Amino acid sequence: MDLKQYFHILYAFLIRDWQRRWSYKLNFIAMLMYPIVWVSVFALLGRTVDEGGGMGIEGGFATYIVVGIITWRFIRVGFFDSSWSIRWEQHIGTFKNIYMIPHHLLVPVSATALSGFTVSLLNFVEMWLVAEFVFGISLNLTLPSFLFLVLAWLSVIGFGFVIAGIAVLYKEIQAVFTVIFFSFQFFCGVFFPVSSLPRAAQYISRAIPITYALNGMRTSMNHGYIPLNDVLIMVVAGIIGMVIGLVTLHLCLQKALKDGKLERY
Amino acid sequence: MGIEVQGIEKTFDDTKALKGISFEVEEGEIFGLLGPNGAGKTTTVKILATMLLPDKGRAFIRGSDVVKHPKEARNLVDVITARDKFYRRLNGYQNIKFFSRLYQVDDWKEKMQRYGDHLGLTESDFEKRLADYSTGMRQKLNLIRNMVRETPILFLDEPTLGLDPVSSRKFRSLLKDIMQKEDKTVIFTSHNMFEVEELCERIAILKDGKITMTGDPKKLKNEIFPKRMIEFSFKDGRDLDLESEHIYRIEKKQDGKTQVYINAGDHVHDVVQEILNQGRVSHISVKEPTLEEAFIKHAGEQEETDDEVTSWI
Ligand SMILES: Nc1ncnc2c1ncn2[C@@H]1O[C@H](COP(=O)(O)OP(=O)(O)OP(=O)(O)O)[C@@H](O)[C@H]1O
Ligand SMILES: [Mg+2]
Repeated sequence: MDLKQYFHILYAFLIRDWQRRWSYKLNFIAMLMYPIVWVSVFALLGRTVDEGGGMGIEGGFATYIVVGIITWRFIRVGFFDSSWSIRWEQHIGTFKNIYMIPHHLLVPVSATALSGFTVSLLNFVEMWLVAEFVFGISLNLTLPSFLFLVLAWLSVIGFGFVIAGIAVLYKEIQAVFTVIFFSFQFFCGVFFPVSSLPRAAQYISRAIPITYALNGMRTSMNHGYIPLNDVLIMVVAGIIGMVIGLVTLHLCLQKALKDGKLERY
Repeated sequence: MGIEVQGIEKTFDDTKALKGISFEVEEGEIFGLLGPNGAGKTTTVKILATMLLPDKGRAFIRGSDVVKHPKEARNLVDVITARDKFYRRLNGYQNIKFFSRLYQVDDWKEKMQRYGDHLGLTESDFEKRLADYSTGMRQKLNLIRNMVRETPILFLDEPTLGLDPVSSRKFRSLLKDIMQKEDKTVIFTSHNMFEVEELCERIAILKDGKITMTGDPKKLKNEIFPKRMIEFSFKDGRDLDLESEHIYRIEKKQDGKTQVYINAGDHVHDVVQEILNQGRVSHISVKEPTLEEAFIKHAGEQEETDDEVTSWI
């Protein structure tokens, strides 16, 4: 398939997904409001802590936590969109008709993830604007720091494919991984510095790439540059994740094709 | 050759779903797959549609191996089942437009209206959300989705399940029309024998993962029920004077009716003609079993007795 064909399909998914979102009018409004409420709550919490003497965090706790949740949310959505796509189509009964197009399954799966990216992007812009102009919390957003954020998003997509593959064989995996992924926000320094975790837990933190994504974003905000170390880790994690993701997805789909679990109509 | 299946075997855990089946479907042919629940019809369709890998054997769609070149096969094939769904929150147009984009079809709207007219789906139906569609409407839209895509090969796995008699008749008539106009190659599975008899030029009967019979529906009926009965009465009550190697019994009933038990085949017509030639007949009928009766008998594996012919009368 050529790039033009791919964009054609990507466009189809984008339109479909936005039409679906728009059809739930109240949900649509909630989808827009949620990040605003979310960022406001944490901005106010951070401010209160800072006014009470702060936590000795560079740049202040309000900034710390706002950057944390904006980055986290961006990455999280990428992970869930890429891990959920196949199961979701199977669940609602549209999988077969998507599968029967003469392309590899990665085409619709990645198109779904990219379509979800547009939501991440929208929410990111909202949260950034509210933080910057309502609460005066500046993220010092630059093109490199934005590209770094996109890199962080890319780095979890491969891991999403791992779950996407396993979920075809074992439905319950989704629930298990939701909990595991949820726990990452405590390890990776979303709400509080990794250094405040028990020593043993800090080893776990260091093993999760998202920790470096958050560190990179914060350094960029406070010092105007992104540590090369963090960029490299993101790139390596992204590549490793993508390789593992594609291999797992391939093996799981192959097994599903053998066991008759790919399409159970 | 449209479709070629060579010695396909498939086992799930400890269920032997297919025990080496082979058949061929010519280009433009409508081929029926019949068989009791669990016989392996869906398994066969899924293997041909590249949704399932066989353990053994090979299958080709217009020469493309479904295991080695699944994308080529998928480019030629579409599948319609009664379980197919759409996006509930999108309306008919939006759904078909989405799939048309995937299939890279531009004139989807025109086709949609054309086939919609044929099936009795109006523009206002297309503007409804799928959540508000009835089963039949959804299935019609599913057929339209396929028509928009225009694959030369189509698998229909119990497509009329859940349709009311009027709708399934419309569905069938559209199918028939399309098959004739567009020369599609079709594999059709159904439990509705009437439907199979009406649509299929050739059928195969699957039983326990094996093909037990193939041929045109009429021939199969004759094989399973090799006897027919002609019942008539002469106005003047005379006796029939007829001898034929195909007739094996003639019975005169109390009420003046005569029953002629005869082997199935073209000669039934000759015998009827002969009866009409011999005298004025007040009534005459030939009892034919339906494909359904043939199927039930075949599935039931009963030994045929001489009086068997009456069991379906
Ligand atoms: N994914 C699967 N896992 C385990 N067993 C399966 C699977 N798919 C089919 N089978 C088994 O294979 C056999 C054939 O099933 P299949 O669905 O092909 O039958 P069928 O002829 O389509 O029946 P029906 O008329 O009820 O649709 C059945 O015994 C079924 O239980
Ligand atoms: Mg079936």
